[in-house]
Amino acid sequence: MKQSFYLAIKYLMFYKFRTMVLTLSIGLILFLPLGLERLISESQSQMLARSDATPLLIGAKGSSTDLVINTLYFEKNKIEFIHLGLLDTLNNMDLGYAIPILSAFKARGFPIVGTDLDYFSFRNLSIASGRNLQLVGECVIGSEVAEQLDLSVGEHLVSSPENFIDLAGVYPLKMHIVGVLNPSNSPDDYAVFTDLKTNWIIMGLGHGHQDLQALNDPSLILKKDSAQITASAKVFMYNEINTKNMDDFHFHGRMSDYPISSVLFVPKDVKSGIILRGRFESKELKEQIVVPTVVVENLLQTIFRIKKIFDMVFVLIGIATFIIVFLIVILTLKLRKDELFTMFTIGSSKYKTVEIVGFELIITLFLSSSIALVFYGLTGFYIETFIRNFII
Amino acid sequence: MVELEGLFFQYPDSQFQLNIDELDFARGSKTALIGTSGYGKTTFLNIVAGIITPQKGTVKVGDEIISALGDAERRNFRIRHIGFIFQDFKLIPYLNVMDNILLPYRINSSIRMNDSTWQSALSIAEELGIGNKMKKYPDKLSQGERQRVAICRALLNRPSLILADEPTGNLDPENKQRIMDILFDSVEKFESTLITVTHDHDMLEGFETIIDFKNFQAL
Repeated sequence: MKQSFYLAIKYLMFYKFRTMVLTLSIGLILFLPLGLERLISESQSQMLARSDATPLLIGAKGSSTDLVINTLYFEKNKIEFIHLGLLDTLNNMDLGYAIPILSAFKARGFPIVGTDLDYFSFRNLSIASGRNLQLVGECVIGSEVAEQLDLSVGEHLVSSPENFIDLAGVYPLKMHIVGVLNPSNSPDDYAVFTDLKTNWIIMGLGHGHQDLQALNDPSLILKKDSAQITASAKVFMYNEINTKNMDDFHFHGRMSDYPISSVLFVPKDVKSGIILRGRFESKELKEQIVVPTVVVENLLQTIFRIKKIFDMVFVLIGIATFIIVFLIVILTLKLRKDELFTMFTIGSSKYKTVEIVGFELIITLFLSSSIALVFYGLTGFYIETFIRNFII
Repeated sequence: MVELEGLFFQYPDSQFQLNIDELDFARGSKTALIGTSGYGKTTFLNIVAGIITPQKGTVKVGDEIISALGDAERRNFRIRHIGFIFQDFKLIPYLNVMDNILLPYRINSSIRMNDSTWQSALSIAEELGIGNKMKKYPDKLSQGERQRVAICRALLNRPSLILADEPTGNLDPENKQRIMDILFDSVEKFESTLITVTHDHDMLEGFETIIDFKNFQAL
């Protein structure tokens, strides 16, 4: 047996390219169903874990899926806003506490999430370096943001303008990175956290500019009376908030009318949650309330239906592969007829020939399985990417 | 050394018949089998080697009647006592020279490989002038070198009988003579019996017996 194994190894090593192609092909075909199974089952676990940890979500009426994905994954930015005033209404009900979420902008491809400090304790997010948010214009970044953009505490991150040619629109804001979060293997690793006011400044609802009272250039003032000064667009707008210009930043209008994307509500107990849901269902409150787990489970059902189609495809690919491998073995034996007959002439038995070819197949399958296992192991690193690119 | 008596062989679905009343090859003799194709020279070698068995008659090699042995016994007998040399060398392309020489030890467990096997392989290869080619693969060797590797493989277990099927058929004249010289020297050294099928009539010098297969007449 040892000698047959030796000859099989020699054969496979001599025909390296053929062995490599065959091994890789079989390896990939073995990996595909396993990898997809793992991606889907782990994505399911991760998504359900996040949704299970989020008792109730409140947002504008519309797609409940978009609302959940916006609040849990900070994707699908274009959901309709609700007003900040709802936060006070909810907190005044004494049924639990409400955490605001405003997720509408990005900074170098990563979502900017406006919230308050309760969010960090609710998600058990801890600071790896630096400190948490204290002032307007600051941000705390997730571990993946720090790693992928090679950023650390003390550096800056500029919000991406919504529209480059819209000069009157959203201005980019240079945010100070004051903290980097510890990895949490969740979408929080890919987020840039700020307070709500910083987000509103990015939106243009709050701004900072030169002191209009002190302006000497008449071309900068459009209208001035005792109550109000109207400045022209030539007035210098600050694109960074620091200790020198912080007092020049201000917000117009009533704060309770300011927009947020959603509210993450943590009821005191199950009963409080049910009471709150009742109030929304009875139209006492005009927004929608959703249980994220229910929404995520519905979403996953669709994925499972698609997976069933893939499973069928993989079964067919598996059968086709088996036939191809069988054909390759038959053709190879035909090509090696002369070589195997030489062995037989010298003194080998037919059983020995089968043993040698058998070892070649076993080694090839072993290598293919190893490749499949390596890919399977690597799949674990791409769960989050898979969820982002293919599920949400 | 080799005795055949009352031999009859016919391939299924074929008109060809091989009939030999009696034929003996003395120990240490060198015999050439000649004759045009189709008279059963290679079939004869296969019968003597025990690769195929005759429908009638007996084939005795040394003290063993191999026509009476079972498949496995014939294989084991062949690998221990018979060396085979082919016209087209029949080297295994994915094995280097050393592994090709050691092939009989890798395909039949009735003979065991040990350190002395390696030493023997090396010393025979050196004697045949291919000692420095042991790690080369067949496709990197000349025709003459390939046939020397095939001879090394046949001689490794010091066979009492060497069967060569047109051993010079694929060689140029210079290599033909060299290979025949090597074969004769080896046969004498190992005191083996040599039966060679050949079409090269200019290579017949050196054979003690020449048998024309057309009528089984010794010339």
